[in-house]
Amino acid sequence: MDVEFQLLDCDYILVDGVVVRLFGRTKEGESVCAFFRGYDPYFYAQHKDNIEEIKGFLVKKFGKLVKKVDIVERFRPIGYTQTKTKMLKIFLTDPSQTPLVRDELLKASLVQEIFEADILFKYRFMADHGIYGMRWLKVTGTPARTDTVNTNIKINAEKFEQAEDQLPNLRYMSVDIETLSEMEDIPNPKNDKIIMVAINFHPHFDGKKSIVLIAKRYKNVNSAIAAFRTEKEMLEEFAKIVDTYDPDVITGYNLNDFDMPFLLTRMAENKISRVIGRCNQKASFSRKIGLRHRNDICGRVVVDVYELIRESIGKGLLRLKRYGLGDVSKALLQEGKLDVSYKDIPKYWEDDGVNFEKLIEYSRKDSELALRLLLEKNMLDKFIEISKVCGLLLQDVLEGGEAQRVENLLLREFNSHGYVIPLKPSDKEIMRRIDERESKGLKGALVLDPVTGLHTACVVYLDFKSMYPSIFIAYNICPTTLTTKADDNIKTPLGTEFVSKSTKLGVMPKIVDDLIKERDGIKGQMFKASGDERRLLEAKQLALKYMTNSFYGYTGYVRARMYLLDVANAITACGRDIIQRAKHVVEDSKKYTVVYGDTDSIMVKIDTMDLDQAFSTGKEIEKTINGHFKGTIEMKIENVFKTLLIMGKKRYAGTSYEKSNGEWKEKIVMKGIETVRRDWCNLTSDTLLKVLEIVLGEQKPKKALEYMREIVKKLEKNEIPVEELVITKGMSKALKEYKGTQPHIELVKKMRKRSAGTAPSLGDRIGFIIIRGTQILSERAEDPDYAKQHGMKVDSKYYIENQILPPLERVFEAMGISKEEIFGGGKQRMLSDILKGVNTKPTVDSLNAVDGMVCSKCDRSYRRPPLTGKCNCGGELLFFSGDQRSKQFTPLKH
Amino acid sequence: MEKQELIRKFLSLGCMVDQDALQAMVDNPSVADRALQMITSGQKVQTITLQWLNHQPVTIIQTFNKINGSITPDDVIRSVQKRYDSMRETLSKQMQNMLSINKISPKTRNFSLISMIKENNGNSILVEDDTGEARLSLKKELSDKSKFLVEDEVVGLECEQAEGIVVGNIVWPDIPLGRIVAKADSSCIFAANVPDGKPFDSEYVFSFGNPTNSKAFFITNTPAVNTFPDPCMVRIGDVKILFLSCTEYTKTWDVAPEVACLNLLKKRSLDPRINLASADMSLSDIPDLIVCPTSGEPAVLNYKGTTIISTSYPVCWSANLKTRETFKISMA
Repeated sequence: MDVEFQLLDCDYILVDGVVVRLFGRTKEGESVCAFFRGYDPYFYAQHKDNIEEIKGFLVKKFGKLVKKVDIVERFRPIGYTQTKTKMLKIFLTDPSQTPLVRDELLKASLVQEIFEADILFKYRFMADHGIYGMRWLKVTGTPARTDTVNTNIKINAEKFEQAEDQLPNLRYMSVDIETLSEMEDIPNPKNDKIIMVAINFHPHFDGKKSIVLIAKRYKNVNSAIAAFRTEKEMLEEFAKIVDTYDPDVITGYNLNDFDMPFLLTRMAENKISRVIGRCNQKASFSRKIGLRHRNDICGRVVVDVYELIRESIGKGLLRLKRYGLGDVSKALLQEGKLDVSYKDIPKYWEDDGVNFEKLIEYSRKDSELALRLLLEKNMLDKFIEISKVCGLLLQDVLEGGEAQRVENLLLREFNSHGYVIPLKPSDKEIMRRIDERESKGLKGALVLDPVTGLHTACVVYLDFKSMYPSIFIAYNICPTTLTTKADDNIKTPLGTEFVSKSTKLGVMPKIVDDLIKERDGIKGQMFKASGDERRLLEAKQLALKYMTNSFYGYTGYVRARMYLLDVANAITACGRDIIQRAKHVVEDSKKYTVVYGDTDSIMVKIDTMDLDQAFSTGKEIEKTINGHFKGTIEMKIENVFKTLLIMGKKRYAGTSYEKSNGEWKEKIVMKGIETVRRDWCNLTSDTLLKVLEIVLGEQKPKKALEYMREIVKKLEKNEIPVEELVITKGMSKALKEYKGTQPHIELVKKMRKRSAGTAPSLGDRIGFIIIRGTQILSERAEDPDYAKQHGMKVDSKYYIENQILPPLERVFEAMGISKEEIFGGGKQRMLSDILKGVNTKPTVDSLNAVDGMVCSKCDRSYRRPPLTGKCNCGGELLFFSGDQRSKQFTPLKH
Repeated sequence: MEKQELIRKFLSLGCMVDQDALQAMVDNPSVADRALQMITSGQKVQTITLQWLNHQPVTIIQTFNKINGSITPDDVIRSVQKRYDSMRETLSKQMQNMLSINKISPKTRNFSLISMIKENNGNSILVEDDTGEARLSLKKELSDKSKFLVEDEVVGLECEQAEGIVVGNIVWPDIPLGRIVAKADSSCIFAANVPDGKPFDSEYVFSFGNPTNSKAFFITNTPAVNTFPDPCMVRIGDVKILFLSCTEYTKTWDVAPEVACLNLLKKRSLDPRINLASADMSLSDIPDLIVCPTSGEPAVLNYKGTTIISTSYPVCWSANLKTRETFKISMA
């Protein structure tokens, strides 16, 4: 029989030997488990002149665990050589014992070196059989009779072949739980019960889009609500649903760190079997790695949408201040959560009427939103394609790092070229690498000194297409081509030498070249494709780009198997050399100036305001540079900036124009300028954006400065609505777990004393403003409503000095507007005076109460003087109280 | 001095004198002089008795008052700098590989800083010295220690730099080990939180027992006999006793008062936070005993030769200042 399916998971069991299991789903929607026997784990050991001694040792020490020992020839991984080395290939009967055998051999000092003794068995198998995660596989075999798995199709595999890629047909199940906590604390699965489990399905399950399971009697049950007498019965039903629906992907929001570990623990506490995977014998489990949880469900993939959102934000693909499900779904789906506060849950749970129904719908909605985010935003596409490219299973792509992805690819290619790969470095080796980096240094990319300021003539942005991958190929850079001895070497600018391609093509350059070619092919296909097909091709080409660009970082990563400082340094040295040469080529023309360059791009100022003219000049520059590099590396014009403000290295903003279908498309580009920071109030972000709009759009810095001064004036006069000044921070743990003082935490303590029932609780984001007073900053955080009701005044100085001025000063200074000009007038005058146009603040003889100390030059305030005794600007310090200043303070006696 | 004159003198100081004591002072003028000196230096007593006269004198050696008179910004700056310099001198004897903040470069691996805390958010701290400021991460293992960090205090930080600077250890100025144990030929009773209106004098207290044969007793934070300002340090013989109610830090750190006192002792300051209206709260003299009130269980702990006693009515402690034995007296 033949079965074609998309591979989701792979593991092994021991039943009279090793049995590999591959799990997936067919195009028709049937779940599959393919069993394969006859494949044994193995690793390599480079012996001394003592093969028989090693064989004897293995037999004596491990008996039947060692199946056989072959003598083979392989290339060692580091350094160019034409000769293979004799090695022992040691086969075992149990993969889990590989580390033991390896360690004993090393301890007995019987071998020179060991290779590949720490490759996960599933990946050993997949690499040797050309099997990749999430790819379509054709398995030929005979039906298997077994109850050990609960898939629709069970097959004893005899042969594997790669099948044509198809659209996935996966089943998704989204889970959200509600719990009841005894204490006002993080719910504890040892003591606190689950009261609800909300599940959403895609595709529908038994005609149902969703179901909510509740652990109490309820009169209004229907097909979408199921009630149970106890938590235990509810969880048993949950397990049954998973088994029946048989999802490929289980998802949720913060599923990994909360819902899943909680569910599994409660199942254990209720003595319910945790076998919710596709194997009927393996219990699912949750393990803590560092601060995060990892959840293992055999045959299924666990996807946490919250982690995907954080990853997108981290990569700059999404700009959001808050990461809660409500905020994210509002921003991306234009629909938020239902309005039920965490602290109302116990009250609503006890209700039997409208409030209880609200709670049910609230839970259902949470589950629905997580699933919609995953599916409507196609959040898994990229990871599925990365899995297909690098070969890792989807779960490992989601959980693992970049190095693991690259190494899986390297394992396959190195093996196919007769190479072995090294073990992961030991802690001692990692320390040695760190020390080596310290002493030799890992020189990074070249960032040219920018010409800071506001450029109002056109600036063309050119970048090298896939610079680092191209360097790998052009210089044949690879651990396997590193040499000092051959004749026709390629020498990099740093002096490191690699053999030429004609002598030996390096494995890494080959991989990179294949990836680039494949990506070019995919891009070509995209022109003709549309809809889902185009979407998947786009994801694929991004995955290929991502993998291609991962190789450089990998070579410089101290925990990488193939870490070689010389290789990493060689690559960046080539990159630096290329950028320098490109700059010289441009400036040798004496017509243009390079105003900035970073790693693989340069910005060239053209003396024109006309976009078309700038673009055509850019094309000429592109041709000249490419001519210089003779095809080894290619530069391309990306866009034209009509206005560009460069504030420093890696910090610029401009109005960018890109040509698309003969038309110019405009957008504002900002790099290194944080317009979305969670600890800024809206006033800061809005003011910064507005200032940049004026500067870039109208090219009027003075107007932008006036605008900022207006805002500062309004702040001083308390004319800014309090809502614009609210800073938000989350409370992610119980109060007592916070060390030190933080404004939002001090505020929560205050609010609890005022009214414990309405105060924020765990998981809430707390909005606060800073009010005036003599206490330390954290004690002056106040609830905006409370402040308004009690007529408390906002500390406008704090907002001016800590929120508005820092980001905006940098913008204006980059335009050549000095601090004096921003602050106005001579040294003695203070900012607020300039803004108000009044004279120096009144100085009195003595104050008998003070708010703190203030700089006489720049008006910056301090709770206590800096250790230097002066303000950061060098100004002298005075005491202040409200508007008054003095050089004398006479505290009143109590 | 004549009897009448003595009575008049003591009455003008707010004290009465019993007959035995009066006779002793008439017989021995130096006793009268000593009594006068004790009272004018702050010792409070309602009735001078022979027992009282036989006590060792109690001298107030340090109070931590608010500032009297005017101060200028320079006064504040000098005071802050002086405090920093003094703590730095103490800490430099314990630290190795010291650097100032401006000397930290990307290549520096292991080093120490002596700096003033500007901000502590639990995961990282912002610190300052006279060359600049820096933000440092805190190792997770330090959370039990770092919760005691207070703004403006001066600490030593053992740091390592890999990717960012991480603090591996916090070193407080602390008190030295191996101090000579100070002694006094006296015993005292310490009490606190005595309710208003409660008759509380030596007769009442001793009626519950006097295991150390104390002749004097001290009450903190209650307006009554033998009360001392809070905080203040007194001396009896060679023994220095610090009276301190550290309510604020007890709450902030969520620990028992004696533990709060211990941490303040290690910081060598009764309140590291700089307050422009208050004098410097540094502890230049190391107390032999610290007495503080508690709302919880009264306790005693010893740290490097300093005994810390927390007490609350109806319990008080009887302490032998020669042997440092302490006994609980319950008046319940």
